[in-house]
Amino acid sequence: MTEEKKPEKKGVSRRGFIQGAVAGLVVGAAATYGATTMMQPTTPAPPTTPTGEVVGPAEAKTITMTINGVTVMNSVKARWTLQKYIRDVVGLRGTPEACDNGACGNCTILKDGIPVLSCSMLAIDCAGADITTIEGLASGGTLSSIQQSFIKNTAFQCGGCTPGFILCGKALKDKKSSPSEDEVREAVSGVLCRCGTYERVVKAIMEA
Amino acid sequence: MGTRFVGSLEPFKDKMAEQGYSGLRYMAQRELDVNGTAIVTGNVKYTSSVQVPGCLYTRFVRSPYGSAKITSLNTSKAENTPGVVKVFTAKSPEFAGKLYLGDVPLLTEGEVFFDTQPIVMIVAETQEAADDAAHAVEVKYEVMDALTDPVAARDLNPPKVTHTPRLITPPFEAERPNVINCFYVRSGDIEQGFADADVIIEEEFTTEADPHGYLVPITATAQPHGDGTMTLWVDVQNIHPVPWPTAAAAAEIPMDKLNVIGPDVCAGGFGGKNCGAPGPYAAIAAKSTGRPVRVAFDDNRLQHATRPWNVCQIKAGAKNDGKFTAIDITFNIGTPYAVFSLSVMERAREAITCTYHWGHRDLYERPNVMFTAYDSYCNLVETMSYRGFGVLESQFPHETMVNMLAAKLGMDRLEIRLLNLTKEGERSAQNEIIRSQGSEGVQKKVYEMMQAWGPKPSVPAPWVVGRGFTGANKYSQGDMVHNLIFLKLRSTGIIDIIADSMDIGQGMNTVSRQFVAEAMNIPIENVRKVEVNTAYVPWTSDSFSSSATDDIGQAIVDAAKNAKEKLFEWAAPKLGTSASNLETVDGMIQEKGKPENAISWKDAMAPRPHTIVQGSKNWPDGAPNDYDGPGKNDYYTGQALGPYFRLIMHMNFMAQAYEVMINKETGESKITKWIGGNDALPVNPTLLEGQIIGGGLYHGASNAMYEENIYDNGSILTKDLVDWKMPTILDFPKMDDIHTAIVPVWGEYFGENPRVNCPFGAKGVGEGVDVASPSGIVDAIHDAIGVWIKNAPAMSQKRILEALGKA
Repeated sequence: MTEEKKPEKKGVSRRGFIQGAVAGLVVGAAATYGATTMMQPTTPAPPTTPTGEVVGPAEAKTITMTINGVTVMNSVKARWTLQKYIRDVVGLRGTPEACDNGACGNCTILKDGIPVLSCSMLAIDCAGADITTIEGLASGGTLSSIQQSFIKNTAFQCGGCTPGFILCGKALKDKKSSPSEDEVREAVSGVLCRCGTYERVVKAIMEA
Repeated sequence: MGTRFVGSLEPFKDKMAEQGYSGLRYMAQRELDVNGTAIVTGNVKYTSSVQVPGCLYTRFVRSPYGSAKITSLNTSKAENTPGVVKVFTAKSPEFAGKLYLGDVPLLTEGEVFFDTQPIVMIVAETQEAADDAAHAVEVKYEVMDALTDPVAARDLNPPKVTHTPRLITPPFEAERPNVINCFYVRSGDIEQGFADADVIIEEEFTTEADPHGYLVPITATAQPHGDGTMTLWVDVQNIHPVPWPTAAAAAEIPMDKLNVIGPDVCAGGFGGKNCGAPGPYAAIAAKSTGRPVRVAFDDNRLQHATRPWNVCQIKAGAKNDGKFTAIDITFNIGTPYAVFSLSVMERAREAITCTYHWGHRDLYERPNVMFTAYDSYCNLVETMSYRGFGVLESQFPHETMVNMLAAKLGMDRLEIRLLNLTKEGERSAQNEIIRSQGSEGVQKKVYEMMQAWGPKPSVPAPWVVGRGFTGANKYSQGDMVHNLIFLKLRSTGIIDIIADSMDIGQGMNTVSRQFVAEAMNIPIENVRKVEVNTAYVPWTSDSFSSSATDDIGQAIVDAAKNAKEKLFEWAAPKLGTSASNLETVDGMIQEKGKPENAISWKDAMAPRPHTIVQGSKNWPDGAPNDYDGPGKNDYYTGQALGPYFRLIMHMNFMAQAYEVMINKETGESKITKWIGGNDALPVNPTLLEGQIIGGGLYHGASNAMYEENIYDNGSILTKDLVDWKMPTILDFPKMDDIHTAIVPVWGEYFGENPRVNCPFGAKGVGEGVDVASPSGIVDAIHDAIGVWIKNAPAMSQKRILEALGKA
C-alpha cells in the first residue's frame, strides 16, 4: 500500500517558499522546519512594487488601493498576501481563509475586474488596483442579481466557497450576460466546493 | 436540471393534520436556507473570522515522518525570534502528560508515531513571528521503518510493535501486540451456510485513508478574562460532547468557568470538526500567557485527520437461485491512536447486518453472519470521524460483493437485491428489530430511472461506457441520552430555539425552524435560532452521524408540544373554553374551527413578556424490550441484549446508479450520468436533494475517484490540494445528467409497529448516499472494462491502467 515515489519537495509550498525566504534573509537561520531541509531559495527574487522599486520581505511600504469603491491607504509588509491584508488589516472577513495554497479558489477576489487568488498574490503588488470582494456586491442594502440567484437556488451549503463562486460568476457575467453551461463550468472550475453544490452554482450563475 | 422525483406526501399530510399539526404546511416544503443572505454577502460569523484585540498567534512544528525517534530538539533560536511569546514542548509543564481523548499526546517527545504529529507549539505576537520561529526550531530524527499495513499490523507476529499501551485488551486477542480492540458479530451457522452455497466469492477490498478535505481550516480562539474564566470560540459541529470537556481538561479550568461558543455555520466539517481539536491548545496557551490566543490547523489542513485505512477481507456464499447463504467479513483498521477507530468498527458492524438477510430466511432460522474487526496501531495518519464512518468502509466491499455475486450468477443487480433484502420488523444478524426498511422502494425507483436512460451512447474508441447500480445502508447512532433543548416564547409570537447541533451547511438552522413551525402552526420567519453557547444552551447531541434531524428534531417537536400546552393553559380561561379545545393557527390561538374566538400570543401570555419551555429526546428507565432505546450488545457475539434492543437510532437506505466513460488507452475516466436515491421523509426536499447531490454525488464520488493518500515509509506525499487531487466541477456530469429520487417510508411513523421518539418519522440524511458511491462506481467500471477494482478510490489513471493490465 505504500508508494515507491520519494518525497521530493516535502514541506515546500508557496507559503513555505515565502517564509523560507524570510527566515533566510531576516533571521539568518538555516531553514530547519521539522528538520526537513527546505528548498533553499538561493537568490529569491524580492517583491517589487508596480513602479519597479525593490522592497525587502520584512520591509513595509505604504500603498493605496480601492476596495469596494473605497480608497484605502495602509502600510503593508512585503510578505503579506492580499488575503491577509484584506482580512486582517482592512477587516473584511468575507473573503475566506481557505487552502492558502492557490488550489481551492475560495479566496478569489476581483482585481481590476479579473478573478485572482488573494492567497497567492502579495498585497504590495496590488498598489493602485481596484479590488472587489464579496462585501462589495450589494449596494444600498440591495443584493446584486447574482447574490439573489444564489439564495433562490440554494447554491451553497456551508458557504466557505461561495464568495469565490459568486465573484468568478460576476466576472463572467460582466463579460457575457447569457453564458452557456459549459462557459459557466469553465469559469468556476478553479473553485472547489467540498459540500458539492456545483450543479446549483452553475444554475444560479446562468439564471442571475 | 435532471429529474427530481419526490414520492407522494398526501397520506402523510392527512395523518399530520389529524394529530393537530399544520398538515405539512411548513414541513416537506421547499423552504429557502435561512443562512442564505449572510452567506452570499460574506457576513456569516465563522470561527475563523473571530477577531479578539491583542490576540496572539500560533504555529506548530510537526513530524514529517511516520515513525522516528526524536534525537534532539533545540528551540533556543525559536525562543529568541523577535515577537515570540512562548515556545511549548511536551516538557513544558502546561503540556506534560496531557492526552487528548484518552490516548493522543497534545505534544509529543521521544518518538513520533505518525506524519504531522505535533512536537512544538509556538505562540507569538504575529502570525509571521510564529511562522519564523517554527522554521528556527531544530529537530533531529532517527527515522525508523514505518508500519503502514493494517493487515500486517494485526498479525500474531507483526513486523513491528508500535505502541505498548492498549485502550482495551480483550482477553482472547491479547497475543496480537498491536491490536487495540476487536469487535465481533457471530450469528447463525456460518460453516453450514458456506457448505450449502453453490457459489462462494472471496476477496480483499481496501478503503484508503481519505482526508476530510474541508477547505476552511479548523480554528479556535481562546480569551482569558483575568478572573479564572475563559471564552473559547471554536469551529465545530457541536460544542458540547467533546470540545467543551476536552478544552477544559487540557487547560485545567472547571467546565463552569469555560464558555464555549460555536460559529453561525461550521465551515465544512464532514466529521473532521467534530471535536474542536485546536480548542485544548488555544485554552492552554491563553491560560499560560494571560492573552487571547488563536490556533489554526492551517499547516496540516488536509492531514489533520483522515478516515482510517481499512483492508476488508470478505467471503460470501449464495445458492444458484441468488439466495444468500453466509457472509464472513474481517476489518483491518490501522490508526496511530485509538480515538475514533472504535466507533468506526461499531458502525461498520451495524451497517453490515441491516440490509440483507445473509442466510436466507427460508433456509435458516438466523442470518449466517460473521464479522470480525481488528483495530491496530499503525504509523498511518491520525484518524477521526468521517462522513458515515465505518459505513463507507463496509458498504463498498459489501455491496460490491452483491454485484459480484449477481455477475457470477448471471442475475440482474436489482433482482438479486430484492430477493435478499431484510424486511420491516425482522431481526437483523445482531438480533435487532429492522425498522424503516425503505430499500425496496428506493432501489426500484432508482433502477427504473436508470432504465429510462435507454441504450448506452456510442462513444469513439478507445473510450468505453459502463453503467453501475448499487444499494446501501447507513445507520445513525446519535447521543440517545443527552438531548435537551429550550424554546423561548416571546409574547410577540416569536420563538427562539436554544439548542446545540450546529448548522454545518446541511441546513439544520432551516430544518429546526420548520419543525417548530409545523408543530406550532406558525410561519417559519417567526422562529429563530440563537448563537450556540455553553453559557445558556443545554447539553445536546451534535451534528454528526446524520443524526441531528432525528435527535434534535425530536427534542424540538417535544418542546413545541410543551409550548402549546402552556399557551393553551393560559389562553383557555381567556377564551372561555378548555385547553383541549384550542389550536394554533398562523400565530393566533383559537377555539378549534372558530377563528372568531381567537387570541394573540401576547394576550394569552399576558402579563408575561416571555417564557421558556424545554423538550427532550431521552429514554425512560424500564422501557419495554422492543423500545427504541439505546442498545447494549454482547461483546463476543454482537447480539443485542435487553432491556433495550435498539443499537441503531435509525436506518437509512439508499440506491445509486452511475454511468462512466473510460479511456482504455490512457486510463482517463469520467462520470457522465448519475442518480442518487434516499428513502427518507423530506423535511425540506430542496435541502435533502442538496445532501443527495452534494454529499452523495460530489463528495461520495470524490472519495471514490482520485483522492489517493500516498505514503512513503509513513511520510505522506499528498499533503496539500496540489498533490492530493480533489475533483473539480469539470470531472462531474452536467446539470441534465444529475437525477435524484426521494422515496419516503411511511411505516416509520404510521405503520403497525411505528418508531417512537422521532420527529414525525423523519430520519437523518446526508451521509447516506455518500457511502454508496464507491460500490456504484466500481460496478460501472466493471461494466465498462470487465474488471473489478477493489480499491477506493478507484478512478485514477493509475488504478484504471492497473485494472487493464497496462500499468
